[in-house]
Amino acid sequence: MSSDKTDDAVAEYLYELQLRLSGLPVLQRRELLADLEAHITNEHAERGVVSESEVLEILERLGSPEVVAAAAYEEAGMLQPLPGGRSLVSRRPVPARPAFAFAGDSPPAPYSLPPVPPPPDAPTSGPFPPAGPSFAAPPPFTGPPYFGGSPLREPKPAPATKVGARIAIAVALVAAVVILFGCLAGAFLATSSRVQEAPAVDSVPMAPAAPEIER
Amino acid sequence: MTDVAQLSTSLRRGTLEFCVLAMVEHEDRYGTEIVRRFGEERNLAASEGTIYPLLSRLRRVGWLDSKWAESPAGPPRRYYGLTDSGRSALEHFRTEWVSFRQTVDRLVGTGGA
Repeated sequence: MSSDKTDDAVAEYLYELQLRLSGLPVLQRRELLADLEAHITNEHAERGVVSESEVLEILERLGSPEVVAAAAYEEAGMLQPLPGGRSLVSRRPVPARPAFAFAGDSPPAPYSLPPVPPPPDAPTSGPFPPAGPSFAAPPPFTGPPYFGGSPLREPKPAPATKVGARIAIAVALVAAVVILFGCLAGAFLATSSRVQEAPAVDSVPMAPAAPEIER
Repeated sequence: MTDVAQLSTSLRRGTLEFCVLAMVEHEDRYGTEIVRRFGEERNLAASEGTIYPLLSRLRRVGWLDSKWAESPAGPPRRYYGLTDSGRSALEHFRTEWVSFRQTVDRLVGTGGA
């Protein structure tokens, strides 16, 4: 039972370490894992270790997987993917894993900033060289023209003239309507005044009496 | 606390590897043996697991070589030995270290009587 437990502890330790070493060249990674495994087995055999607590002590003296991984990256002359071993993210599988880091590790925002540069590197060196530049290039070029270039200059005047024209047309229409109403009103006034005169005219027929009188 | 840890880390960096070279200067030693030896030195106390990446680098730069040998008990052991370039690197360090140490002692006032 205890040997199973200790084996589990050792296997888990080595697995945790292996996860953190995925950014190292494969041979260095395997060498280190083999060295540590041999070390644990050596200690196991030479110190007559039996109990789980003694195995845990061996692992503790080795240092946490984070500490050992940090030393491995330093000795390899490589930057560790994320400082402090907070993430299992490694540098090589950049495309997928930093995304998880961004999504999951929102608190260590300062740590998530450095990994930003790699994605641009990844497309150029990775399997998407044409896609990367083509995607990267258009936005800078298409972006400014659309926002700051001709679209703003041309559309701006165009809408302005259109609005002005519409306003002018509306004003002209209103003016025409007002003039029309004015004319109509004038006409009505005129006609109404004539209507008033009409009776006068009607009364004029009384004038014929005058001729009659004249008669 | 972090300052203390930082200081010992800084002091260890650049010197520990020559302690390793010196340790295998006269006879080959296997990894666990080297690691245990460092574990006994409190001033050098580092997590034992960090010695293996160091051994790996010293082997890659050609200052150490390694060979596997059967052990009387337990699994095969990986023995590390000093190469010629490792030997001259160690000699160079010894010269540099003495003058470096004297300068620091003089400036910091730790030279003693």
